[in-house]
Amino acid sequence: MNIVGRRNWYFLLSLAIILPGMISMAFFGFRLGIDFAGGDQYNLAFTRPVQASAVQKEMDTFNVEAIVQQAGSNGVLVTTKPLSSVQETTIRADLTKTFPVDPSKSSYAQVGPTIAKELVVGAGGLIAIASILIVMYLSFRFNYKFAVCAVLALLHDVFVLTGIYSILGKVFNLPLGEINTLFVTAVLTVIGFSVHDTIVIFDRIRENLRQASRLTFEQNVNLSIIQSLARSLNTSMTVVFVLVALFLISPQNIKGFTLALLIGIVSGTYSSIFNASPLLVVWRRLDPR
Amino acid sequence: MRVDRRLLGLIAVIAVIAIFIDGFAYVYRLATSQPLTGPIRGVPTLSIPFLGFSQQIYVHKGLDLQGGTHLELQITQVRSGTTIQTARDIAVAIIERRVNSSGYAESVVRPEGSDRIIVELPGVNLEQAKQILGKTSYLTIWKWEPGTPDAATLALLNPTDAQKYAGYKPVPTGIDGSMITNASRSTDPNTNLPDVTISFDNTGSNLFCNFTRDRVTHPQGDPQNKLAIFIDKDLVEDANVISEICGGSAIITGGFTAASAQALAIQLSSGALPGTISIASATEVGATLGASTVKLSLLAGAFGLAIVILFMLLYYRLPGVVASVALILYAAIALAIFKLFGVTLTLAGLAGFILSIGMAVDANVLIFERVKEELRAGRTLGAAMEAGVHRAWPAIRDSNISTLITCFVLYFFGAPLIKGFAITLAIGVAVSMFSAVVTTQQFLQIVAGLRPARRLAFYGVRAPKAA
Repeated sequence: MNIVGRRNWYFLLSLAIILPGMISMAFFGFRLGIDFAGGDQYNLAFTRPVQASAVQKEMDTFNVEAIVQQAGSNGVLVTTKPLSSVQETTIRADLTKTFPVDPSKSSYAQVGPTIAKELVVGAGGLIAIASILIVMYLSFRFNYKFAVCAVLALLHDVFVLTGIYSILGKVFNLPLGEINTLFVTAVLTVIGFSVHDTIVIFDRIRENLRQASRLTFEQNVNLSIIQSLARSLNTSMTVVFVLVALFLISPQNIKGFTLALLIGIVSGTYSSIFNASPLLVVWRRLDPR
Repeated sequence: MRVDRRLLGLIAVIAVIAIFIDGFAYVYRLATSQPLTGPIRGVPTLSIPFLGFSQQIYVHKGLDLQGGTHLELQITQVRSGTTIQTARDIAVAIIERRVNSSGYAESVVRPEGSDRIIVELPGVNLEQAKQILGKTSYLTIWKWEPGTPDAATLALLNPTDAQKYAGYKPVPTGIDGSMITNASRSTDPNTNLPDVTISFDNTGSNLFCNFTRDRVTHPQGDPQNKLAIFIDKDLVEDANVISEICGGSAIITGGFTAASAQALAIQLSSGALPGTISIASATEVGATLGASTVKLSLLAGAFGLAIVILFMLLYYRLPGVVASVALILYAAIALAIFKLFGVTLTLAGLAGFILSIGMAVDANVLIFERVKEELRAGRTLGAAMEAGVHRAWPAIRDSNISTLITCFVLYFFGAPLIKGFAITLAIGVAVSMFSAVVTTQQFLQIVAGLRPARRLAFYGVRAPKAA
């Protein structure tokens, strides 16, 4: 199996997934959850089916820029601009009176604009700081080329994930594609997994390079990938199994989270096998020192 | 490496402690017929003072898992002379008192950043939460002096009230609600009307004594003889001072109904908040929703563990058995640490924990793949296991350290939700390194020493063609 030899195809596949995502991000941005956009959100569960349009009609009477979406057969998601305490109480009382709301299964969240802003800046900053520190550690353990390639693979996964979510949320307008704090957690989880996965293969390359052999650098990298393939796939498959199960049985409010983890883990496995190590080879060719 | 009795002893001790911690709270609950979840009644908290550590041993669940209301409060318009941090700390103490007196178990009130307070009230909806936090009442006592009120005073007080007497302005006496130790509803013995009796602390008592002594010198009817009590912006009492009051208590009369006197007494006795407090964010999760999330997570966890164990048994055979035992021990240790240090498990925290299980499995997979390779290369069992652990170690070390770096960044700079994720992941990764490198390795050595375990088929490896 020659993975490194076909690297351009693999890079192309990555681009084919990342580019539409990037375009969507650039033109449409994200469907922001209220933790980032600020506002109020009711996740209402009903004791019997209720049409989202009926709830929308009711909400329109309050004039609070409400958007109502169906969430499962017995639930709706109501998002509004930031409400005052009085408005909140009035609307809640009205909804409870008009519709068969089950409060014990419902949730409500309100986020002020200051906090929302802090979270967005914070999340981006965290990913940046973590990446820089990982580059430093890997430069120390391997060398800077390995470090940079590992972080490129990491960024690949971040872009795949954010790109797909931009498309899901904005192009398809699905509540699933909403960007919220849980999504940030998912991105961070994926970063951890991606680097972990990449390092295992890099470790193999490091070990094989130390042993005197007649293999070229390219052959060496390919051999290392093949040698760690069983482990990479085994580990990822177990995680993917768990996540698919989790996704299928997730309640509406965390389906987006489990889906993000699922996409990220698959992307993380792909990028460590097909991107990170082949990138090392590309770099070595450009700069053979 | 041979079987190391000291390491085995260490594993045994840790296992016993973990099982004790995991089990003991349940045994106690059963023995005292308490519910199996939530805080435990009547157990002294386990405290190790020099570590600043004091905890009840059970799984602390976040609001997203048990239902309740989470509020992030923001302090603005701090009274002059107070720094925002001081105001925050006073507010935390006051809110804590209000919450505790409402009797909500396991509620959390803590400062966040320089001007925010986080309040978590399990099993309470937003409306109830607002009631518990209560209205903020700030009592101040003023005196009237000749002059006209300046703009600052007019901003602080209701202008109509501040300009009640032409040619006089309200001047602060320095006595405010923070000096009130108690307030209760009382009845005026003469008129039989409800009023509110307040008691001052030492400072307040002295100030009040001096202030009334000074006011008495002015004739009755002169505004300078009067004592003006403002609650927030409004003048609620403007009474003549008939004699000096030095006993440390005073009575507010002023056309109260029984209910309004009661409400004011509660507002005053729960302390004066040193600024305006607004809700910056609020989240309310229904109890059943939280419980179903927990059920789901447990289901996913059990399902995941089952898949992992099945896979390890089928693919790695005998070492798979070893790894499964090590994995169960790993889960027990991690859970014991969560309980011991009172880590609050949230949805994000569970994600971190599940990820760390994945990494623990991965460490085992790395070792076993290496062991297989060594066996295929014709090494003896003992040597293959030793070499397997030895050669897998750099990968385990580097990957886990990178993860720990990420956790470190998230913990120190992240939002609360992200902190929860970082801490469970970090604990999980640290324990998994121990589990893979010490536990699995020692168990493997024991297995390698058993004669019946020496058939290579047990390891999923065919005998090498020629050694």
